Formats: sequence, structure tokens, C-alpha cells
Amino acid sequence: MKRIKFILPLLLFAACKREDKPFEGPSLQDLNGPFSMAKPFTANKAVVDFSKNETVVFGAEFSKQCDWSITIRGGLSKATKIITGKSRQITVDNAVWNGTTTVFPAFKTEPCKAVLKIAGVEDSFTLNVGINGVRVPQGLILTDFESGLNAKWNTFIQSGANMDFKVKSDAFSVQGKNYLNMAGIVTWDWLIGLIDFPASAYGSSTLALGSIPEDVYFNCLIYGDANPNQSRVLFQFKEDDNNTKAFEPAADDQFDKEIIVNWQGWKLVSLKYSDLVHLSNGQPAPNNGNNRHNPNNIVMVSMLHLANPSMGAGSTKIDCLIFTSKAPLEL
Amino acid sequence: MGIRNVKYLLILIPVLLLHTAILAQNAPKFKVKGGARSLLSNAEITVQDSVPDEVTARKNAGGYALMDLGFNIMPNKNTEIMGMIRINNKFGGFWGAGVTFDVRQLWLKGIIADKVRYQLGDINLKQTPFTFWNHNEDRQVQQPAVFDLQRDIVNYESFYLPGTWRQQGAAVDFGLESGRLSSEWNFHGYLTRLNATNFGNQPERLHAGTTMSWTFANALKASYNLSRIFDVKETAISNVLFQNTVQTAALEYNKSISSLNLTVGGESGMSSYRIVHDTAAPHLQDFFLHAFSRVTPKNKRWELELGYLNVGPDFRSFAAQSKRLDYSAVPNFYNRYTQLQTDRPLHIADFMNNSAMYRTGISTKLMSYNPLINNVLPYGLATFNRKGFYLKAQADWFKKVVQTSVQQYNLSEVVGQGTPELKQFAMTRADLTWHAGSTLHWKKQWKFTFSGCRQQTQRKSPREYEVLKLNSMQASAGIEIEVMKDIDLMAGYTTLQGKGSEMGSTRNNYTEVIDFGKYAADLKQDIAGAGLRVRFSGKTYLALMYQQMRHRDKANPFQNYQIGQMMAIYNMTF
Repeated sequence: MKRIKFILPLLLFAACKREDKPFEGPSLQDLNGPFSMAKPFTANKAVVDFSKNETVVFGAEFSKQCDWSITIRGGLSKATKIITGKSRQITVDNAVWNGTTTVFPAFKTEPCKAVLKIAGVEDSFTLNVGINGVRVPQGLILTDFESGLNAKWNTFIQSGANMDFKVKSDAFSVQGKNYLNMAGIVTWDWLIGLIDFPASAYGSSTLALGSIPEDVYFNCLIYGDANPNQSRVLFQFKEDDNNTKAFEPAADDQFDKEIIVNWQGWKLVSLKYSDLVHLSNGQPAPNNGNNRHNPNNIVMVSMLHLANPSMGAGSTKIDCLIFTSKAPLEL
Repeated sequence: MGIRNVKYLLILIPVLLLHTAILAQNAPKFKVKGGARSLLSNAEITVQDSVPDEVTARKNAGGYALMDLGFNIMPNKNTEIMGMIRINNKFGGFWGAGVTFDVRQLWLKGIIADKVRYQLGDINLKQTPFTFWNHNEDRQVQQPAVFDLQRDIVNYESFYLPGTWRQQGAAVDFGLESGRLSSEWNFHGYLTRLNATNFGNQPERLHAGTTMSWTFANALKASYNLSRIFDVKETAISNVLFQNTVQTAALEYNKSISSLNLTVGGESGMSSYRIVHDTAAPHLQDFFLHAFSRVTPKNKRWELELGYLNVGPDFRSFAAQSKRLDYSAVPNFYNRYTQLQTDRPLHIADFMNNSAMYRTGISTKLMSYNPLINNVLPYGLATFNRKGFYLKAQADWFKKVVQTSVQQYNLSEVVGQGTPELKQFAMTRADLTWHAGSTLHWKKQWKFTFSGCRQQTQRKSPREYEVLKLNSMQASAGIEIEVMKDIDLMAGYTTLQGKGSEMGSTRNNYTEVIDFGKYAADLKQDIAGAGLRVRFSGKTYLALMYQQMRHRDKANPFQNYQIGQMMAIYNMTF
């Protein structure tokens, strides 16, 4: 019995274990400590070629956890990439630039300036990075309009006033040199123009996409004009569900997305194929095929430029229509 | 309940009383228990503000009369039933307005086969300070008798008995004895309901527990304790289920050495806290160890206890960590004041006289606390993230004419808050009661009481922003003089003072620390009171009292106030 009375508490104590943590809650150093740069702001490359999948890794270390941002601005394009974070260190884990853009146009081959700013700190820290090769979009490119309009596409352009449905190359270029301008006034209808991109224009009966709708993304760059005539861009993805090599509205599925262009400047729009629904007069409606998203059955993509129905006028630009796999396009 | 129903009940009660009294002529099967109380209060507030307060009514008068009427019925020798109703009438109500009619308690208990005791309904329950316990850590100093009258009312209203919580459910006890082995086995189990389901996001929440103990030769006692709060599956649409389980083992060994009784004991165990099907919720597990050694002479004139405590930062035992005092409760008068009608800071007097600020059940969330009142062990011995030693000593002098006790706690955190540097906690408590009448061989009672508690919280660090120091002091002095037979004159003074800074933890719904808030204090609160008590019997008295409470906060001088309050209390229990 003498042994029991001493051994039992010891056994109980030994059976218990406690999570080994240095302290509870957020670090007081991070919350209230003074700021200083423990390691300077650096980049692992002075010149980068994004076309060869190279990246720039930024680095820095602070005396405390900070809200920080790195803003990279193209010297010629004025393209901007912003990387933000909240950490004590800037490392490969949170500050890698792969040539993508936050505020379009996309970067060109140009000198860039990277500026590190820290919340609550007046000073900023600057680096120079040169680009000698731009990022090449990866995926199934429907068009980037670098070769103009493809004769195998079907186009329809209304004959209204101030119609401008042309591939242009000017100061508005966002990626590469060309983009498609779409503008005009059509008082009797609200369709300004459309382009059908049939799979046959790409050398096959269906587009070469995967079969899992959650993995397929459609992406494009759309420019919003600074005018009150909110353009609408309607994308229609037409499938061949009954294997007739053609889209039949009464027997096949069509998934749609209407984008109201209510912003100013270029914006990258990405759509997950599984999120799309069939629209009838702008409202979700039942489909007529197998009622399943089958991206590998797409036989045609249609892009319609619509005006605001109450105004009849529309103006926008578009570029870089690309399907990507497993993730939205990064440009 | 409508007035008509009250009338019927008032007619029915005497009929029942008469009927059962006739029955009681043959056997003592029926008892009436209860109490009555009336309280009259007249208070006046004075605010020190640069802007005259033209919104708050300076004077506040009110009161109530209430009666608790309990029927204790024993239909047979093995069964006892208790039902108590309360009629409460706020002064100023008439023709039924302001009258409430409640069931105050209802229970049934009995013995099966002379072996198993059971109780259903309202039950007073407790286990150990780490599993299920009603601690009283917000009362660190002994109060003078003039203020104790109000504390007794709070305890009566909240059903507070040492260590117990009043719960609703069922409990069962039984024991086995083995004469040959001189050993005894005891089993205690209970199941109570904490929350009823709302059929949506709150499932039925129950609390179950058991204590199994084994005593050998009156010298060695070992016990296993389990306390488990849990949601019952499929009693609501939500499948999110709260679970808090605490398991402990306790051991106590007594031995006589010469003229001394030596006790060595301890308790150790583990807790688990999780919320099933809530992916954001952590699974907190931790343990504690409490060990002590106590020495007392055979005549029990003094006692000395040395203890060690180590409670992990993630130790969660809501049934032991619930506090009586709810600091988020609203005081019963002058809850808003000044021209801007700001919330009046709570005063220690509010804690004495307002039973509405006290909980009657356990909380499954960590309750807030006032670091000036208790920063060392705010959740009792089960306070998480504490380790260190304590020493307790008490002694009676001159045949119990003078009674003294001293306690010293020196603790620290187990894990730092936002830094590896640990906070150090120190608490010194001392109480002295002097029965001066006995010393001077007077027939009438003269009793003096003195009590003090000093707490210090400190964190040292080479980094200035981590340095903390908070000192607080509570002290009281009281006198109780029997000026004439059964007439007592009472006076007392209690103060709470604190100065310094502390960093409080902000916790999320899962009790994890997510931020820290700076707390700075330079505060003094006190209450002085005097009164006269007429004792009609041991259980009945009438008291007339006046008390003056002051709140002085140097950090917010425009919130300083003082309240004078005159009270008349008539109290009777039967």
C-alpha cells in the first residue's frame, strides 16, 4: 500500500503530456515591438526572362510581423504587379513574381521598379528588375488577335452608327500588340456584333479540353470604357452531347455567361466551367442536352457584344481568350 | 400567472395546509419550511463631473417583500418531497401589479432498499475543485458583519453552499463496506441539464459525472472523478456538438505521528475540450497536478498546509471554472449615470447586495474577471496556466478568542502570453477575528474582524513593452457590539485599491488567445457602513443600515461617484 500511494500520482503525472509552445496568442513583439529591417530588401535576379518560366524571389526580414506590400511597376507599359503579405520575413514562400500582372496592361520587355512598403513605416525600399522575356500564356488559346480575325470564325457585325469591330494595335494594347475593339450604336437591336469560334477552326470536332468541368477555366481580358453605356459580353459554350458533331439547340447543352462591363480599364475575367448555367433571355433556364457540364464536348464558343438594352450603344475591347486547366489564367 | 390564479392558489394553500396538518397528527409526514424577507432601500448618488448631470434621477427608492413557502412531504419513511413557492411583491405595486409567483425549488429524494440514495429535481452538487466546484474567488476578504447580512441574502437567493452548484437533474449515491478489509467503497453519480435544445443550432446540453472512492482503514482514500459536459446528438438540426471532459484521480493519506496528524494528498487529471463537426474548433487537451501536505495537532488548534499547483494553459473544466459573479451583469440601480448616460463602473458594493449579478448555473464559456479583485486565481484552483506553491496557516488563540489565518500564494504562468517571459503572481491573505467580549469576560459580544488581501502581478522583461506590474489591495475592518440583549450595533469598512498595468487576453469563441488588451488602473473603491440589528430569534432579525460607497478612478476622474444608501431589512427563516 505504501508503494501505491506514491506511485499512483507519479504515474498520473507521467501519463500527461502538454503541447510544447513558446507562448500563447500573437507575439507581443509583433504587436507592440519597434520596427527595424533585420535583413535588407533584395531580389534574387536583376534581370528575368519570364518566357523561360523564370521567377523573381524577393527577400527581407523585419524585427516584427508587419503588413507589407511590394509594388512592381513597368517602366514602359506602366503595368503593375502587387504582392502583399503579413509576416516577419519576405521569402520564397510569400513573395515570388512569375511575371503576372495585377493592374493591366501586361508587362513588356522593359525595366521595372519594385517598391517595398510597410504599414506604419514611413520609409520605403526600392529595387530595379529588368524583364528581357515576357510571360507566355499557357492553355488552349482561342485567340489573342495577334494574327487578326481568323477566316474560319463566323462573324456578324450590325450596320449601326459608329460601328468599330476591328482588330487594333495602339496604346490600348494589353497583351502582345493586338486586341479586338467592339463599339457601335444599334438603336433597333442590342446585339452589336458576334464571333463564333468553332472547334473546326482549331483542327478538331471538339475543343481539346479535359472532361472534368471543375478543372476547366475560360479566361479573357476585357476593357471597360469610361462611359455610361455599360457593354455586355455574352459567352456561349455550345456542346455536342448526342455526338452529331454539331450543336443542336433542341438536343444539346449550352452554357452561358453574361458579363456586364461596369469597370474602367483592362480586367482579367476567369470563369470556372462548372459554375456556368444556361441562360434564356438573361435568366437561368433548363438545358436541352444531358444537362451536364461536358467541356470536352464543346463544339463552338460564341462571343456576343451587346449594348445596354435601354440605350443601344456599347463600347469595349477584348483580348486573350484562353482556356486553362486546373487554375485561372495568370497573366 | 394571472391574478385570478394567484387567488385560487392562496385559497388552495391553507386548505392543503389544514388537510396535511390533520394527516400529520398521526405521523410527522409534513413540514412547512421557508422564509420571509422585506427590504426597503433609499439611495442617493453624487457624481463628480465637469458637466452637470441633469438626466440621472439622483434619488432611488424601492423595496420588496417576499415569502418562500416550502412543503416538505414524507409520504413514506424512504421518500421525501420538497416543493417551494415564492411570492414576491415589489413595493409600489398594488392589485397584483408587481407581484410575481414562482416555483423556487422542487425535488424528490429517497432511499431504495436502504442502500441506494437518489434525488430528482433541484440538487446541490459538487465534486472536486478541478472537476465540478463552485469557488468563490471574487470574495478575497472576510466582510464585516454589517455587510455580511447582504451576502447571506445573495447566498440564499443563489442557493450557494460551500462548493456546490444548484443544478436540475438526477443524482444517485451508494456505498459498500467491507468490515474484514476495513474498507469502504462509495459511488456518486449525477446527470443534469444545462441547456434545453432550441431545435436549431443548440442541441440539448447535459452534464454528467461520477465519483468513485475507496477508503481503507480510515487512512488512505483514493477516488476517480469524471465530469463531462456534452451536447446530445440529433436533438437539434445542427450537428455541431460541444464536449468538455475532465477525468481526475485523487489520493489522500492520513497518519498520526506523535501528537500530530499528517495528511498527504493530491489530485491529478486531464481535460479535453472540443466541438465536434466544427472544423475551425481546436481540440484542447491538458493536465493539472495539485499536491499538498497538511499538519495539524490532535487538538486542532492550528493547521499548516503546503501545496503545489500546476494547471496547464489548455486545461478546460467549465464546471469548475465557472464563476459565481457575472461581471457582464447590470447593477440593480444607477446602471447609467452622468449627463452622457455612460455605464456606471461596478462597485464592490454592487457585488455585495445584488443577487442578480450572481449565476445560478455553470457557464460553458470562459467568464470575464476583474484583475484587481483576483488576478492570481480568478477561476479558483482550476485556473489554467498557473504553477507554483502556496502555504496556508491558521490558528486559534486563547481558547478561540482570537482566530487568525494566513495564506501565501507564489505562482507563475506555465506558458507566457505573447512572449516567453512569464508573469509572476503573488497573493497574501490574512484574517483576524477577535472576540473582545470573551477576553474581557463581558457577557455581551464584542467582535472585531480584520481582513486583508494583497495581490501582485508582475512580468519582467528586457523589452519595455512586455513589462507589467499590477498591485491591488483589498482590506476590511468591522465591529459587532451587542449593546443590549439581542440588539447589535455593527460598523464596517471595506476597500479595494489597485494601481498599475496588466495585459488581458482576448479569446475567441474556442477560448484561444487571439489578442491582448492593455489594462491600466489607478482606482480606489470603498464602502463604509453602520447599522443596528435586532435579533428576534436565531433565524429572525430586523436591521437598519446606512452605507456610503465611493468610487475614485484617477484615470477617469469625471466618472467618480458616491452613493449613500439607507436600508431596512427584515429577514426570517423557518
